Amino acid sequence: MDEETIVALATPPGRGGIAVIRLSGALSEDIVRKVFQPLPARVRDRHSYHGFIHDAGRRIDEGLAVFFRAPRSYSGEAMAEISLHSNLFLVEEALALACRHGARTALPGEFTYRAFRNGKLDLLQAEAVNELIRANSRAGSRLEFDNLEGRLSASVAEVRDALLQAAIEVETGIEFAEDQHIEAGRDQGGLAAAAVLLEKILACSRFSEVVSRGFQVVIAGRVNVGKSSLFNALLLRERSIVSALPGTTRDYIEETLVLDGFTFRVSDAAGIRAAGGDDVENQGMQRSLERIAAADAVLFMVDASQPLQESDLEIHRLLGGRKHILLANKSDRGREDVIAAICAAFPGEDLNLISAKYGDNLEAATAFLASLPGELAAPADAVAVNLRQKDLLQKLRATIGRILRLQAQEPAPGELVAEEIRQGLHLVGELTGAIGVDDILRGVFAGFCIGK
Amino acid sequence: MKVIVVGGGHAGIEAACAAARMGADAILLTMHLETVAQMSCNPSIGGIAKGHLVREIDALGGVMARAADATGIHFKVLNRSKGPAVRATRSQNDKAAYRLFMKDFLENLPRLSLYQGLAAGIAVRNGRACGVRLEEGETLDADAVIVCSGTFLGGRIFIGSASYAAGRANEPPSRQLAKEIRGLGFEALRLKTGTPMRLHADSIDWSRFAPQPGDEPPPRFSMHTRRPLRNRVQCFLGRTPAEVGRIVRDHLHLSPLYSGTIQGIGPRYCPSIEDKIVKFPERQQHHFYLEPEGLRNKEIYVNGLSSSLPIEVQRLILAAIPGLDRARMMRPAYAIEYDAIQPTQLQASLESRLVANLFFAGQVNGTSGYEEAAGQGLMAGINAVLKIKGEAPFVLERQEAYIGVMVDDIVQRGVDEPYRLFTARAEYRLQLREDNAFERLGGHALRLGLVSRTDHDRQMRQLEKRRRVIRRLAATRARYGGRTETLFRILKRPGMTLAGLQELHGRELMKKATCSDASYIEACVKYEGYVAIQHKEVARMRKLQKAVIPEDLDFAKVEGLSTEIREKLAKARPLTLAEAARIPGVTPAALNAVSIHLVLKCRQ
Repeated sequence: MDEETIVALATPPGRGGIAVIRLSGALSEDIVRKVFQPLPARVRDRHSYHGFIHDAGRRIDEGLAVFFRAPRSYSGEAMAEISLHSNLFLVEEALALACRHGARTALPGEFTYRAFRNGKLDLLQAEAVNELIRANSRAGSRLEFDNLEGRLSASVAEVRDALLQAAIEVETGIEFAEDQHIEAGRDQGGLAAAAVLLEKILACSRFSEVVSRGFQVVIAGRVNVGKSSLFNALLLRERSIVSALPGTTRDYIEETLVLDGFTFRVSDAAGIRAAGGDDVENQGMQRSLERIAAADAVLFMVDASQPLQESDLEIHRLLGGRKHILLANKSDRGREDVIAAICAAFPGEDLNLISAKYGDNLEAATAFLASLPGELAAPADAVAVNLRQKDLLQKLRATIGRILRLQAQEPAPGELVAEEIRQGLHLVGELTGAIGVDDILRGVFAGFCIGK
Repeated sequence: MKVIVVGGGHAGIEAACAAARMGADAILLTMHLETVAQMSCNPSIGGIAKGHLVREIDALGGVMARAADATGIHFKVLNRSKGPAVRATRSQNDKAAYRLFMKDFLENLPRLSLYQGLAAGIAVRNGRACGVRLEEGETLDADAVIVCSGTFLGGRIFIGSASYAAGRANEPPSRQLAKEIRGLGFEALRLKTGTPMRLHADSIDWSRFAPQPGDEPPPRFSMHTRRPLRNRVQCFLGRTPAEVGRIVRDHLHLSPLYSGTIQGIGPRYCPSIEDKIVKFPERQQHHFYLEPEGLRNKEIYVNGLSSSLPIEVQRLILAAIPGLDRARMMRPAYAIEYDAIQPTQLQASLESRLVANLFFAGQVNGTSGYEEAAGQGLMAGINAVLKIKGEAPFVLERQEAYIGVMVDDIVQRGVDEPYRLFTARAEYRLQLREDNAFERLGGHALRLGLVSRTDHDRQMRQLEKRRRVIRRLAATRARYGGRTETLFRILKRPGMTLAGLQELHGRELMKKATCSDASYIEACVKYEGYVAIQHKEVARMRKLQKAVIPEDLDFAKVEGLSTEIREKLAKARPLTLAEAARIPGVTPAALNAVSIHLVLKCRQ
């Protein structure tokens, strides 16, 4: 029985209204207790509890938690599942939270592997599950993952070579330097370059994530500025509604729009109301802030027919440095003085006059959207990175950072440098599968998709 | 219980002593009583990873450490400026004194008999070793036999175009035994090693070389050594001029290593001068050390100039080196080719898989180095007795000891060149230190009867003392770098030492702290975080180790394996998934296939 508790997203990323995060291992309940409340002192087996996922009291989302006692669970170990809203940022945050409290990101197929080992599945069943998962991801893939996986491998190989070179240098220093009078190499060039490369992969990985889950676009603006009209106009114009998500507990609607082959998830941040009770307003503002913070880009709307209000300015402040476009709606009833005031209030921004109602100049909005993929990252550099890989890449980057810091000490503690390099090579092995010395039992079922 | 050890070198001595200490009647069979414990090559014990081995041998009741201390004439800690895990002790030894010390020790050890004779074959009954046949016509009965034949099996010496059968210069090899061991079905390897020339001390112009004094106070190997040690000689460092490169290149065709006469594979880490010059043509100079072979002995060992070139070329080389230009050669350098058995034919106990109760240890297993040999001899001796008693074998794990790393490496992966231990071979290097050998192995030694209760308890008290100091460090605060912190945290800082901490604290933290005490305390503090991570890794490894692969598993029946991997597994015969994982070329997918096969098989 594995003593480590693993966690992963069990539902396909970015689809459906609900995401399920699954934990397996002895600590499952303990970890969920640290991130989910309220829960009774003793939870019932296979009973679902409504509550909130929180990070040290800060609510992240509302959801359900279910507990399974061993061996009556999918994996045969103690398990827990948390259902939350399907938003990649929320899911990532919840996964990171679970990891912070002692879980480890599951290897691909690890849940199934554990189930198999605990006698819950026979081999044929395990293979059947794997096939099903594979079929789904094939159908859903929007990137040439194989090609991109190859690019990831090539980058990881570069990092591995840098680590190997550093290992050779430090080991030579330890075993022979003194007797053989060999100048133990202190050349950090290779590792420093590897660190840069990893930064780049991690930065690019954001692009591939965005591409696969869709660009998150928020229409922000005060009440009655015409957000819903723009929302509908964009969708009608493109006639490319992929799915309509039911309005969840959140007070916004989200629709998927496809432009130039890229997916955009457009939502209407309807939480900002100019008037009303303080609490409601604050909560609304808070949610809008979160929506905007999570967005890849914002369509910021003001009204060209009425003087600017304090809430317009407030929303603009919320945008911070976020990528956005300024749209002045109701061009049909636009007033010269208002337009001048808008230009004065938002200096340095291009004002786009539109009419959502009559469909005038909507191209400004769609052209803005279509430009997003090009601006986030050059697609040629994109590297498809899944959550497990990202986790490992981040650990690898941290390891190399520690190596560089140790090497900078005078004298450099060679044995610790060597130890960090060993761990780095181990991470490389987990990434490429080329070397896997001791994590194999968990890694062996690598043909399985993560989480199932 | 009767154990016969064939060969009186560094492996054989430890094997016979361990067996005798554990209650067996041990016979140490040697060709010449005069050459028991002969240091065939360099006059030195220890070094990086090797010093670690010597401490482990000492903690397990072995003899090498005390002999090295008793006969040492120059002591040094290598890597002193590096961390505690990679610091290592090395001694220069008086070769004659070393032999005499060992012979005297063996002669006085209860239940051990030294016997001069030439082994001709292993008597085997029902697949089980039951004695040794001697060239002299006699057969000695035994319950277990340990072969520690060094370079003597089918040994052949090469100097230029000259070559003759020998186990060591001018000592006859074991031809018959080599033949019989092959006859028993053992796969043999042909390996090569070499030794440099010895020069007369008075013919060397010492002023041309840089003295290399020993450390003061001299470090020691053995916990049994009480009397203070003394540095009595110096070593000297020299460099070969570029001219040597030209001489070697001009005469390369005369070197049997390059003419193709020598087939055996030599060690990459201990190259001959011709190898160095061919492989590193850009280097103008090569280092060598002049090491005295003893106090009442004028022979000087030229560490770094091993060669198989003809004697006249060796003389040309010497003549080209300032300071050695008038040196009188007393023994020429030579290369030696010998039989080793592929150690994958052994179990982790060093008992052969082919013949029960037959053990192999030392250079015959494809390793090199006195210390590597001694470590294996010790394990073989212990396991021979356990086997006779019908008890489980004593196998050290990789995280416990360098001995464990070495034995696991050779029996799992086999060798393709003479195997030498490096600290890099140990995954858990930070935990395998000279300073904690007792902590790691003392319990085993006591349980197996290799050390006395008194000795064990004395070491235990010392260990407790160290642990108390560490606890005190955690409970004591001091001001350092503008902050008040525990001494423990201050010691964690880069470059901080126990000595530095005492200065800062203004009071002695440990009375009469030795180098080893300081090293232990610094390591425990500085490596704390790393060791915690390693413990987790060890726990994961243990799980793989628990996944036992039955000895009769037919890898041909495991689905999804490539032919190549199937052959590798069938050859290495791993006993656990952990062992399988370490076989080069065995992929995670292959382990997956094996593990599925095992689970399904076990469910049927």
